[in-house]
Amino acid sequence: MSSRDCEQLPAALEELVGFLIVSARGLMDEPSDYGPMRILDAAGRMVEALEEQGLTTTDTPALHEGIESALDAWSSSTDEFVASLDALILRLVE
Amino acid sequence: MDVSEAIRTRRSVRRYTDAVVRRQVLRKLVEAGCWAPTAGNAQTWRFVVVTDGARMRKLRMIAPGFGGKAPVAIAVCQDMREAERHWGSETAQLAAMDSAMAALNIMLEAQSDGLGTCVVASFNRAALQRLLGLPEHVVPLLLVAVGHAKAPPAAPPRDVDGVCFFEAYHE
Repeated sequence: MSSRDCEQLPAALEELVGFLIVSARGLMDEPSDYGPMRILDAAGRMVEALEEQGLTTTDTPALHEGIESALDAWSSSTDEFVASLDALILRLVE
Repeated sequence: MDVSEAIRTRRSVRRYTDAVVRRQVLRKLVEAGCWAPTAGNAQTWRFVVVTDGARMRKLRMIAPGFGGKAPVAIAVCQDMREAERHWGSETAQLAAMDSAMAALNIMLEAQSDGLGTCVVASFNRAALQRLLGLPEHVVPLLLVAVGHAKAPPAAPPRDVDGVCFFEAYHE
């Protein structure tokens, strides 16, 4: 953790909460496969908020990159998206 | 960059750098939108360009489809009061078509200027109207994220032969 203060973190987390609320409403009308992508997007936004405040570990950059890669995969291939998530999950327990 | 190259190299970009997009360039993008085809020459589109950091943070919150941290959003809106005068019962469909064609012009112009874009339809309409100060009759239909692409994604393949039919459709 860096020496940077965390003044902006509550605001960033509030924005994330807002994103989740708006997503919950939106998903009532959107295709069902948007759900996994929105959850992953929220995870990415949380990691991003932590990074902005320097609240990271040595694993955080790889985690963020893994999330971004999986989000990229979502729009191109369901199989690739699932494989990216599986790889990301295994990395969590290494 | 010619039109054909812009069409084939455009991607839905979700990763952007922090680089600022100049106001003059943004005006050029909106001008490209204004040159799109428009049913009955109605031109009932309205464009709101958002660059302010605080407003962009709120916009990202209420637009779940707005992935990444693009520095700019262009809201493609329709003046529905004026649109209904032109289009009557066809308003909803034609407003959507006009907005989509304007958005594509914006994206192709941006592509030719070396910028990345992503068109977004997933947003809370009422919240976006409030955030942008839109009156009730001016409705946002699409958002176009604009910025300098950090990592343009690979293009999913296109199956032209499977979807193109000459003279008559066949299974």
